[in-house]
Amino acid sequence: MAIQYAGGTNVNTTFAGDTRTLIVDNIRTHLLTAGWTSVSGASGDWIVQSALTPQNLQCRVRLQDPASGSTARVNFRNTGGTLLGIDTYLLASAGYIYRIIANKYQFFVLRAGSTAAREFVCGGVPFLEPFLDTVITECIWSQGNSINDGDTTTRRSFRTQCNARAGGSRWQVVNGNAWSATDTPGGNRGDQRLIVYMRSQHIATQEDAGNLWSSLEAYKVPARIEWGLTAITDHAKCRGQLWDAVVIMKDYTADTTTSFDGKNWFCITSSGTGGQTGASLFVVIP
Amino acid sequence: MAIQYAGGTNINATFTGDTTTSIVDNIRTQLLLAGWTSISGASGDWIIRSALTAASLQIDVRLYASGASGRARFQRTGLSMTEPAPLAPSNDLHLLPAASKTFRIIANRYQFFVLVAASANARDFICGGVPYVESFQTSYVAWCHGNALTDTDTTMRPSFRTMCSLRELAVTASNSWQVSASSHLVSPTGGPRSQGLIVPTGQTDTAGANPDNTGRLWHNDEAFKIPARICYGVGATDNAVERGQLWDAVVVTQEYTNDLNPIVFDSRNWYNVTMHGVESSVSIGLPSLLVVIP
Repeated sequence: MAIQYAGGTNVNTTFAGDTRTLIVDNIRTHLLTAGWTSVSGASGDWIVQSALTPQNLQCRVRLQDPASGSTARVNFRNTGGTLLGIDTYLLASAGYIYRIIANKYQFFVLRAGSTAAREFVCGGVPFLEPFLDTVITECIWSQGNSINDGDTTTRRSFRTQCNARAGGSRWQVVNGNAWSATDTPGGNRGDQRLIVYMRSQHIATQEDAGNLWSSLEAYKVPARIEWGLTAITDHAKCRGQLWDAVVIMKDYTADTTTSFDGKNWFCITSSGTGGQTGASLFVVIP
Repeated sequence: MAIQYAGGTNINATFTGDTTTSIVDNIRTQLLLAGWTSISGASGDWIIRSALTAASLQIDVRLYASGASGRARFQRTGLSMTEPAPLAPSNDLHLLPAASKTFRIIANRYQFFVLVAASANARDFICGGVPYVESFQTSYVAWCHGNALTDTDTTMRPSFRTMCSLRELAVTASNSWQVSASSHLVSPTGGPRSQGLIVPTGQTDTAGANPDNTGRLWHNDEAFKIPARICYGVGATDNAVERGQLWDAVVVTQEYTNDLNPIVFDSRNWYNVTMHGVESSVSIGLPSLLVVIP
C-alpha cells in the first residue's frame, strides 16, 4: 500500500506552446528525457513509447499536429497499435507556456494556474499490486479536459477534481477492454477516478469528514485509479496506482509545491471545484 | 497503517440476559476474562477498568442495573461517573433483558461489543473502548455508543451494528460519547461531528449527486480491507477527524451475511458486526466492520 516511485528521471519543465508543432515536438523531447523512446515519426507527428513497468505494462502515444485547427493532439494507444485511444487537446497560442511533469511511465501537461479547456492532458500505465500482476496484462489510462478542438468549456479532469466523471476526452483499457467517452452528460459510475478516503456516512450527505487526522494533517494515500471494465455504466474498480503520485485529502491551490517522503511534489488539482470530499492529486517533481 | 491487534485474550461468548442484573454481571465476567479489572461494586453495579494501552489510554465503565435495562456508562479512568466537568461521562447505553434472551460479547482488553445475533433492535447493541493511536496523536481518546437513547427507547438509533457511521441522511440523535483530551461530546445530534469509520471510495459527487457508491472493489472484485479508523468531532461545529484505530478491527468495503463468522484472513478469525439493509441509509463504501474472535 506504499507510494510507488517510478525511478529513472523525473521531468518538470516548461516549454513554448505557440504552435501545434512546437507543442508536440516539445512533449516528445521531454518524454525522451524522462525515459520514453521514439517509435516513429517526424516533426509534428510522433509516436513515442513508455518504458516497460516491472509488471510488463507499456503504452504508446501519438503526438500530432493535425495541420489544421487550434490544438495539438495527444492520443494514447497500446504498443501493438490494435487499440487506439481518442484525441485529447492542447491549445496552441502565441506566448503560451506549458508545463510537463513526466516519468518513464506517465505524464501530465498543463498550463500554470489555468484550468481552461484544452490546457490539460495526462495518461500512462500504472503500477499493479502483486495480486493483480498476473491478472492484468494490459492497462492504460488517459484523459484531457476538453472534448474537441474548438471546445472552450472546462471539462472535469484530474486538473479540477480527483475524477473525470462527465469529463473531457477520456480513454482507458484493461486487458483488451478499451472504451472512451466524451461529454457524456452526468457521466457514470465507470468514469475514471482516484480513490479518496473519508468517513462513511449516508451517501446523500455532503460533509468533509474523516479526511484529516486529529492533528488536522490531511490523509495522504497512494493515487489509485479506477474505471469500469467495458463501458461507462460498469462500476469503477481499482486497476492500479499512478506512479510518483498521492492523493491528499484536502483542497490546495493548483500548482502548489511541497516536500514529503524525501521528494518534492506538485499539486495537479485545482482546489475548490467540488467532489465528494476535498482531495488533490500530487505528483513527484525533481 | 497496519491492523492493530490488542494481544491478550480475545473473548467471543454468549450469555443469557433475562434480567438487568444478569446482563451487567455477565458482561463484567467476560470483560475480566478479556483482561479488564474490577475496580469496585457488587452484583448489579460494577465499575470495571480496561487495560492500559501502550499510549497510556484507559477507560472505566460502570455496569449497572436500573429501570428497564442493563446499563453501561463510560468515563475516563479515575474520573467520577457523575463528573460534571471538564469531562462528563457518557450517557447510559442500554441493553434490554428478556427471558432466555442471548447476548453475545466480543471483547479484548481495550474495547468490547455486545450484541444480539441477527438483531438490530433498539437496546440490543452497545460498544466502546479506547483505541490505538498513532505516535503523533497524544490526546486522551475514548469512544462509545449504543443504539437506543433511553431504557424505553424502541427506535433503532444509528450504530456500527447497522452502518459504519452514525451519520444518517436525516440529522438524528445517537447515544454516543466521544472524547479528545477534555473536549468531548455526549450524544451529539448527527451531522459532520458524528462517529464513523473511514472508508476508501470512488464516490465522486457532492450531496448525493450520482450516488452510485462505486469504486470500492479491486479489479478482481476483492473488497478493500483497511484498519478500522474511527473519526468524530469533539466540538459542536467540528467536522469528524481521525482519532484512532479500533483494536482487532477492520473495515471491509462489502456486505456480509449478518453475524457471519468466522471469516478467516490474516491468520485470524473475524466476526461481522454490521448488518446491512436494516437502515434506510446506504452508506458510502458499503462497509462492514469485522472484529477478531478467537
